[in-house]
Amino acid sequence: MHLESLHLEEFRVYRELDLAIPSAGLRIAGPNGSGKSSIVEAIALLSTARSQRAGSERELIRWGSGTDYGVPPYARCSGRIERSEGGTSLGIELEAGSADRESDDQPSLASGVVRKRCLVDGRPVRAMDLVGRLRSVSFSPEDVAIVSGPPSGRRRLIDVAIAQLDRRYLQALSRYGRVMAQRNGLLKVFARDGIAPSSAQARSQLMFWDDELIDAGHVIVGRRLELVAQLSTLAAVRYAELAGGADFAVDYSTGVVRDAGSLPGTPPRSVRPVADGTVPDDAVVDGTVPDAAVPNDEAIQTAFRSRLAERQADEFRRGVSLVGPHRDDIVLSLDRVPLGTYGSRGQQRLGILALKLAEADLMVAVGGQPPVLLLDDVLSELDPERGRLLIESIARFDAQTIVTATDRSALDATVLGGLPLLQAGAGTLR
Amino acid sequence: MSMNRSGGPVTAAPVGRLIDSLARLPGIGPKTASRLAYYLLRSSRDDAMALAEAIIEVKERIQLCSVCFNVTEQSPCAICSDESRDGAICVVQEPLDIVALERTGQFHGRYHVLHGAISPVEGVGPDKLRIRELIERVERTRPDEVILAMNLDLPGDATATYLHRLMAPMGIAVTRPASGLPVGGDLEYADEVTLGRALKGRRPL
Ligand SMILES: [Zn+2]
Repeated sequence: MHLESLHLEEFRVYRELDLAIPSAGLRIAGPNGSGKSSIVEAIALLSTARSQRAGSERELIRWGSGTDYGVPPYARCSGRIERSEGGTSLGIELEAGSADRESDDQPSLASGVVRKRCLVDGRPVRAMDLVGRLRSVSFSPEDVAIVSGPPSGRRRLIDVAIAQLDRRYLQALSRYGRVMAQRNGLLKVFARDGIAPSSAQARSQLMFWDDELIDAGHVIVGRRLELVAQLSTLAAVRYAELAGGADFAVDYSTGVVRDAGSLPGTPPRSVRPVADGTVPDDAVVDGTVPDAAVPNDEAIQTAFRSRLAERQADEFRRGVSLVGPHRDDIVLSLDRVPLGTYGSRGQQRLGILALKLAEADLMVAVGGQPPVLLLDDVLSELDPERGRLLIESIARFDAQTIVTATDRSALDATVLGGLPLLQAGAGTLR
Repeated sequence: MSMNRSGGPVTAAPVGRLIDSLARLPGIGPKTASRLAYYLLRSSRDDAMALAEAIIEVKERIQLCSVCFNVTEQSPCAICSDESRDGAICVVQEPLDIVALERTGQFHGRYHVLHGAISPVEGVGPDKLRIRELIERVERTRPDEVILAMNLDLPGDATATYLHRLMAPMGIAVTRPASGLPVGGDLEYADEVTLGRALKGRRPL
């Protein structure tokens, strides 16, 4: 699977750009603000249907877009992917609401709101029908903030990775979000009016939303438990490669399931990292990871229901949902010490790199093909030796790799030095 | 230069008022409102008066049926008064859903319009809908069957589940149209063949 071409319109600094991308990938050099990062950003958007940073979709639209034609500001990006089953085109269109420039077709579009449309072969589709068609893993120096930042950033990282491998997961996430908003609406009214959890009114109205919350939520918790356990195994190997033999681990910390290993369930399939350029036949082998069994659906549902019962009084008092995957966290640790709180900046940086490499390993193991690897200025924050190790690990995936750098000679001496080089500047690439 | 919504000092006050009124309609922004206002300004006096009278007539003569809460000129409405209708009640969210269901020709009973669906996010609880009236009507008339033809989205599902729980102890057959309807879609937008098939294949809850 690789991206053959990328077309941008009114996207960041680009008014219009057509880019052919070789199957091995590209190097893009340019100073900060030259638009080199926009290329990897656009590919990540086509892959995940989300902008990499929360709440920044409006910023993807070029400043001044739409004014020439008197239409609302918009941005388009599309790409053609080639895979063994044949070619497909993917597209994302963004349109900003504007108070003074009205769109009669979307009168509900308020100022500041960005409407997003996903397209596959020109037909509008739901995000979950687009995500997973072009799998990608992106690396950026800003990723390090995810390790010590709020849990939402780590959940987002894991969600984006799992969603690319599992359509049902994205569907569950979207349904869970809608159910939780409704459930919170109800709890807010109960809190305001001082309604007791035991009242017939509360029970009859909440029952549906509890059932739906558990139904969508248990899928999220189950997949996270399983895939984070696999990622942890893979990331431990990757961390050791980059930094030597410390015991790196990634754990899913959930308030829904206590003591996951003791519940009835199945061990996750064991996986191993990509060691050389080929996808190993035995990438996925049956085996056991003793302390990381994944509880079955029923066990998670039962646990979720008991946690809801335990926190019910709190929920009614505070008027908000307090139990569920939206409150969970993913903890990166080194020798059992959490990196977010106690790790050095360098350890945090290696931790997130190991986790990202593990994501790519998992996509090879579960998805059968390496993802497109997007490296945005990653060498700038690494010492030369770590940089070399990272680039070598990346090259071994034999994946399409798009790599940007401020200094055009930065990659010359590495194994990625053979990739075609383009220079970014003033809204063009040449 | 600052301008208000209706175009500021360059627009005569009555035109401004018309534009503001039109812009309050759903799906119409200020630009469309201006276009419509100037169209009406140019159109013949008869056409404009016909529109004005139609609006007044709707407000003065249309009311809600005291039995099913559909919009009607006289209460009870034509469907509720039709003796040839069978003893089933089809519960819908909006009056427009009745139009869609009648078009299928697959249903010969009467209706009950809730005027919405349970959606806590929008502040719509069971007390804001015609649910109490439905339960009283079902208790009083003991219909052969109650069909819950809610939209297939979260508020529709929440409403159907809530109604089913209320009616379960009453010993009335409660059904929901079969799946096959577009999930998340509004009933009124489903085509009549799909809707008819879903209605025929309804299943007990
Ligand atoms: Zn009636």
